Amino acid sequence: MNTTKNTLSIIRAVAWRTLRRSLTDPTIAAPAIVAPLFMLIAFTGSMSALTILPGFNFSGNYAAFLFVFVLYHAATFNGSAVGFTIARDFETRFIRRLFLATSNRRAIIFGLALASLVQGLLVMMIAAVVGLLLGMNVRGGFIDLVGLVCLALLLNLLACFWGCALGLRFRSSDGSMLAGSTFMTLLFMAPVFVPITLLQGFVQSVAQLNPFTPLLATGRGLIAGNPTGVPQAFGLAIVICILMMGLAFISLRGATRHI
Amino acid sequence: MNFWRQFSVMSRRSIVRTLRQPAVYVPTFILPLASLAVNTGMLGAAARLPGFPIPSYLSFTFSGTFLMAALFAPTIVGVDLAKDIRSGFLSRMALSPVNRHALLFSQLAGLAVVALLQAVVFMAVGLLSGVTISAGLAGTALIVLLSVLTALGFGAVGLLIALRTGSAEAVGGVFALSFAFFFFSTVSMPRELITEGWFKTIATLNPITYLVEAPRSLLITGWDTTALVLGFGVVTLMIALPLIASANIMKVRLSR
Repeated sequence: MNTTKNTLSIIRAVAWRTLRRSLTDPTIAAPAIVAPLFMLIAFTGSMSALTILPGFNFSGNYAAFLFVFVLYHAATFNGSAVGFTIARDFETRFIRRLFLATSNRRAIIFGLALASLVQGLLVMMIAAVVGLLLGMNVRGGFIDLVGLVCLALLLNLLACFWGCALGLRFRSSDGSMLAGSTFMTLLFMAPVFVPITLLQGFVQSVAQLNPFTPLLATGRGLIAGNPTGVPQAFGLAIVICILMMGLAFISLRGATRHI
Repeated sequence: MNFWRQFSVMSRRSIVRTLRQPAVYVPTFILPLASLAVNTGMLGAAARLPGFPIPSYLSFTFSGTFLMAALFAPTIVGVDLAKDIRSGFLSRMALSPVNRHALLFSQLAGLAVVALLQAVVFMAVGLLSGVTISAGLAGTALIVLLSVLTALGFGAVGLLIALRTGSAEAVGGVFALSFAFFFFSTVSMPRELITEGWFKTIATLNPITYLVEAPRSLLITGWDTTALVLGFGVVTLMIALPLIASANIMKVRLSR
């Protein structure tokens, strides 16, 4: 019981510390929201005409179509950035104090995960407001939108575990680019601007193998009010999340040998 | 030593220094070409939109490749100059009878060589990939010239920021801002097919739009005088205004 109480207090403490750092230093959290929002505004503005293409089967407008990509981008960018903050703790040697504070060191990772979820919700809210200001047409019901947010939060979580894994592996800020660019690259190799049937060449082939493709399709179905493949999308996200969590734990084991 | 002799000596330094740092300029070859390949695959269907000016999206978006490479120019130029300022090299030059304009303009020499190489490589890749150039051989040469001048324009801005701030980080900020301007232009979609009025207004006011449309006109239309005049006009201002401002700042620095 005491161990559980200790673990929970570490999770809360790490989460609160991370959130406070993000709130007091906006330069930490800002990139996670600025870059995706910028893309939402720029691409909605320039490419709305694409919806009239034959084969562009989406019942909402282009802002809603693009919004799902932006939501996932913001969620994964935020998650990986929060997870990677553990690298800074190695640079400042604060990690030693964290490791001394608890026998269950995985609590530190779960603390970061909790912080990334809270921060992720905030980031998604801001993205939603901007999307609505751009005229995003939301046709999904309450349950659909809750499903979309939960899916995005799962992506946020898996990105956080990935960021933790890299932060624990590199133990310095050098790997921050890799943490940030992994999911951006994966997302951009998915059907970002048009449905997969309208992609051409090698991009379509890559998109067919990309795990983000079915996640995007499901998200778009949820926002348009005709969800498809929801259990499969959630299953895929949960499986990847568990894999990333395992990776983070393996990296943690390796990192503790270098204290 | 006369101006041209000084200019050639300092330019040689700039060229050698730039070419010795492949980590700085190699990404400027790879990223624009990768972006071209991915964008063509992603947005190729846009060429089927009614009113799209050309059947090939590759030819349409090809002009953006040169512009994207030019966005890296401030980093290539400004970081080196910021290093010169911090290391005191610029101060040591002040003790010598070097012409400040030779010192300033030669900073862009390395960039000019890289930009020329980029333009030639991109053009070769584009032609092999099936890009068509309506303006023929003369148009091809003009696209290369415009590409080099565009890079020099962005380089001049980087030069100004580096001289003003002495900071490589500030120059990096120019890169981010330039990318913002890049995406708020007609690089992805022709102006006639932009349905959002506010975006069309922004794109029309954005000088980057004219740097995209000038080479694009040579690819698609042939000889569009308006587009070429606007493109060359914008790039001339982009080169001249920062260089004039930089010359004034240099005068103050060297006199201190």
